[in-house]
Amino acid sequence: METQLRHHNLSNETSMVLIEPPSPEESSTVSTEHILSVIEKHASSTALLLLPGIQYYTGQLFDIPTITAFAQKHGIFVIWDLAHAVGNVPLALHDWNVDAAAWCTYKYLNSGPGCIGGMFVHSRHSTVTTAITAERPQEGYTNRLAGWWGNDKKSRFVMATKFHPVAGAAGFQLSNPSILDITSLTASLEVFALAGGVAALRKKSLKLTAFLEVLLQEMADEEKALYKVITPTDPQQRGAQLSLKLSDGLLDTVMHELEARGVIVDERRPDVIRVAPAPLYNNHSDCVSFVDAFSTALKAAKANPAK
Amino acid sequence: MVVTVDAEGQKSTYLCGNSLGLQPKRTATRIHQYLTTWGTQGVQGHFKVLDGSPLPTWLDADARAAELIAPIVGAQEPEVAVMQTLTGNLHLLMSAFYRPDPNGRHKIILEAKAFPSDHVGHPSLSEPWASAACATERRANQDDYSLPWRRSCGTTTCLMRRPWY
Repeated sequence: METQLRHHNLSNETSMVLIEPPSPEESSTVSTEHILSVIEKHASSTALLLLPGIQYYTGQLFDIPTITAFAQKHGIFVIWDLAHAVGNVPLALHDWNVDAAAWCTYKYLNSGPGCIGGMFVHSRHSTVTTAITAERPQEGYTNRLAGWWGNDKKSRFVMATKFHPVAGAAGFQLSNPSILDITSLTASLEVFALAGGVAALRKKSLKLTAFLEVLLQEMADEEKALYKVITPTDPQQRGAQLSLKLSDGLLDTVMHELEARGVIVDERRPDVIRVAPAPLYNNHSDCVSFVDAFSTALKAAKANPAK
Repeated sequence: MVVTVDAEGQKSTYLCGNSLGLQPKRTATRIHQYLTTWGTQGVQGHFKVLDGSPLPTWLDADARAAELIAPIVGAQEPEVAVMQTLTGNLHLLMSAFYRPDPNGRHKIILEAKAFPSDHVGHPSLSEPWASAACATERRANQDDYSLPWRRSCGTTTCLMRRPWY
């Protein structure tokens, strides 16, 4: 974003507005009301709202339709970064009237590290109303940084010197994509379809994450005193992930002990571990294994925090 | 899914799909089919389906992926494209739809906690951005590759740890 601003001869100081948790000591999450209030405050001078569907650190799922509608009412274009939301929670980008969105596919979509990403452009933003033969064909679509693969398939291999996009998000493509990447992604998407889609997986996900939450709540009080869950407790405000914020100085030992027990989670410095039961391949037993190992790890970390 | 195991063949507990999802078993099958198409048909793979293979022509591979991903994001099929990377796509979207007017609408509203905690305390607005670029770039490029990987890969004793950011 910083480079986008500089690209337009703007600066962070004048043109970047950051939504911060209003009471960071109490909660790392941000309420919808707070987000709307920031939008309202800067409404007349704001061109773009760019938010994550799910916040990577806290695991908070934002109210995409409400926030989108509010920003649009104030004339603001809305882009969602869905890296942590896609394949994790049900999305209805068209019906929510989202302007645009982008995501990667190697998290919940299991496409493989660094695999190809994705883009959504609402149909109302990607129309092409002119023919390539028109006198000024470029007046029939939104200008973009284009590439030959964004041309209509019928004309791609004609090698015309003029760019004229196909309608839809495909008109934003640049080059021919890596078929190796697409093959890997498509294999995984076949599995999603066989599993009944995200709606079916979400049902299992809600149960799994709730189960994990209960197991954490049932830990001994002296262990629970060493961390807190910073992800919202409302299941509608989170995806699969729970983020556990540890007391100072425990993270290294906890991660070491978890790893020694074959438990793979990830850490966010300085003190958060993120635990995500994915409904496609995790089960209740994984949650039990994690909490058992976490309990042992916390005891070890408390006994030897400097390790 | 391919289950992660350690060097002794013991199953890991993998709860890291928020960072990198596990490998579906059919991925190897499909990639092998892709290699066979390329290996036996060469450039004809752009336009010709290999006999007995479920894979589309390379010309249509992106459309097939879009067809499968549209229901996952709740989009009409033409509204999605499988392309590039997250950060690249954000830049492309902004190149089309972020047209700031310095005297009118020019601001971008973002979510600040997307930043690493090392930058949160800085009083200057510009400094976190100047030093950190955007959180999305970090996430896409670095963050997700640094798994504590030793037991799951089962092949080495390396211990890749997530770097500081």
